[in-house]
Amino acid sequence: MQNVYATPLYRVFKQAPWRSQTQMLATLSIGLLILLVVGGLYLAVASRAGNAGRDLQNLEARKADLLRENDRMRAQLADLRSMDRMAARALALGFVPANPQQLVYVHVPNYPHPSARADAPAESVAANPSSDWLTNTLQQLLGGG
Amino acid sequence: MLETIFVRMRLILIGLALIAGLVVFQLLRIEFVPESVGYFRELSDTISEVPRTFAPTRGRIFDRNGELLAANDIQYEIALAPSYVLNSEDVARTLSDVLGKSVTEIETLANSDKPYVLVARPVDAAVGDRIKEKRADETLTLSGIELNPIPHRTYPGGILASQVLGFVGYNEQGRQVGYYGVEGFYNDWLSGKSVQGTERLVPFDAQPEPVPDQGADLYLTIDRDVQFLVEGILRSSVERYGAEGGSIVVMDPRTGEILAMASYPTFDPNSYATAALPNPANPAVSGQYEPGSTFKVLTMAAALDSGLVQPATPFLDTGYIEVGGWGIRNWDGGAWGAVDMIGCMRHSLNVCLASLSTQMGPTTFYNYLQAFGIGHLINVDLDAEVPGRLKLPGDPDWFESDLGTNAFGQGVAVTPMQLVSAVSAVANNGVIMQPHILMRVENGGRAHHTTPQVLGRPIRPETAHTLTEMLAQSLEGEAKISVDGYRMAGKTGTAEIPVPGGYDRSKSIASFIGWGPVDDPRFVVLIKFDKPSASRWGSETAAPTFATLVQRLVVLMQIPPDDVRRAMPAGQ
Repeated sequence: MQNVYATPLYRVFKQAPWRSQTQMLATLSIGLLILLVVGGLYLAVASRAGNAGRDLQNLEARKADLLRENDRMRAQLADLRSMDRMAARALALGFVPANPQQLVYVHVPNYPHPSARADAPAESVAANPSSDWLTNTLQQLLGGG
Repeated sequence: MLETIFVRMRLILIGLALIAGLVVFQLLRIEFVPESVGYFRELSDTISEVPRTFAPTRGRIFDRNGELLAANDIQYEIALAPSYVLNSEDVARTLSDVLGKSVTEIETLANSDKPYVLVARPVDAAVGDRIKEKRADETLTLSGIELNPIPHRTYPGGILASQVLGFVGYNEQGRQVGYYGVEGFYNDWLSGKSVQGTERLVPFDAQPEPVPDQGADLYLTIDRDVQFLVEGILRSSVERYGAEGGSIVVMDPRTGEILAMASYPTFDPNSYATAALPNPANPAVSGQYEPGSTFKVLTMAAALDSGLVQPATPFLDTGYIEVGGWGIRNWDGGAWGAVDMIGCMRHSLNVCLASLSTQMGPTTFYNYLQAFGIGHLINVDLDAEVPGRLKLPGDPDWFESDLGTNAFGQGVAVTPMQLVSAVSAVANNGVIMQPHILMRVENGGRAHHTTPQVLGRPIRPETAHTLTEMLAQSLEGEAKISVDGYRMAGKTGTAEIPVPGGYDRSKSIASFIGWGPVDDPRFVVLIKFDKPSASRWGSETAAPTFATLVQRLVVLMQIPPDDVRRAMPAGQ
């Protein structure tokens, strides 16, 4: 059997300078490809992290805006419910302040009288000792609330 | 030829490898050499992070029924970042239209070489909204306009309870600070606590912002409806009687809760900076005056409690008494002859009360006054409270004659709140409850309730009942003071105004302090007018105002008439 590796054509082929160049290029290409893949993955992750960060910043800004808007709407509502407006509107609708003689008091057994509700201090909902500054200050000033 | 190309390629590759090596070396140096790590981290931070104070939202203030009295709103600071302005004409025309400034002026600002130029501060939220709308218009190029929100305090009720609430201004750091009233007294609680942190500009490093301790919401004992009623009646009465001003305080004697507190003239805390009132302090706690005959309630309480007299104890009024070399006469200069203690109070006899104080002696008399809280702070939770003035034996400016004049409220100074607190002992079985304005604090889902505290027990319950009955009897038959269906107790006062060297007899402070219903007092009301011109007498100005106020107060407080209330089972 003839050894193909011993043929002159094979030797010529193996010893051809372009072959070693090609091998080197292939190695470099593979390395570059790996780098590209790793870089691409890194970029993809970084991009997603960046997007998430941007979303977080936008959400923080949106939250601040909404809180401000909420406060503003509360203030507007309170303005619409202000005593001056309510009194003027009541007068415009024909209401007049009542005097004691116009009132009829009806005794309803066990009905919680407003003064009774106001007089009895409700129990604090702060069940657990808290470390926050306000609770501590209040506990000192209000005798445990 | 091919060889030459390969050689060159090798050289290029070697060059590239060297450059890459340098880059890798530098990266490793930045990453691992300690000095470099610190330096580059710091450099990066200065570019990507900005130190920032995360300020909390100021707590709100509500009345006892949850009606908002002080709220948060926003205003805006409008500025330009000239380097980001792409179309200065659009920017100038838009801001000129919205702010009413000249186009030229804004164009000059837009072309400034400064990084940040202030255009207007503060502007209302509505103005900011208009700018936002214009920004949404795609035909305009409005880059470079900075719209920065500024926290702003707003009082929806305007002047309502303004002297109780105080107001909020800005300190040098631009932070909100409360002044006077509740805003001043509870500023620390309302402000919350800011947090120092960093704002990360690079999204890659973004982290949730630190959350500061938010300001606490305060619920006051004030009833908005009662406050509105009181302010309306005070304003109309001051005008009717031609007074320079006045105050009304309404307090629940059983708990010390202040239901309403008003003084006139007043101011709008929404525009405190332009208010005509030079001093926004609350006269009900900061303004002291000589109380005159309303003070006789305390003198008589001391005389009864010390056992010196009974309601039926007779007194022969000669119309004159000399105490410490100082002659004292009655308000009308007359002698009322034989009267009892009820008569002394009904006719408000200075001679009778001066006689009682001298019989008690300075030690007993002043001990009682101090027990009533006269002459020192009662520590009501409002800013700028003053203690009044009670001269005592041993003080360089105390004279024996003061023992006589103090008995009818001359030579002694009190605040309206102090007098209400003292007299509340008579209305509340001899017990003074600590006057207070704060009912509840809410913060972070927790609620803390104030508990009524006893401030003192200057007199026995029997004394309080006896004196209340005496004062109720002394008011009977006085049509101007009566409230149909309700029995009230009270005392008028007409005090001369001290001036250097004596008293101005042409002007007075007219007042009335009363409480009711007599068998179950739910309120103590002090009405005080400064220098009324229509009449100098408390019986003709403050007393009718008391009756007018109580007519409406019993409705708002849902207090049934005496006969209805007595027919109700106990506890209802």
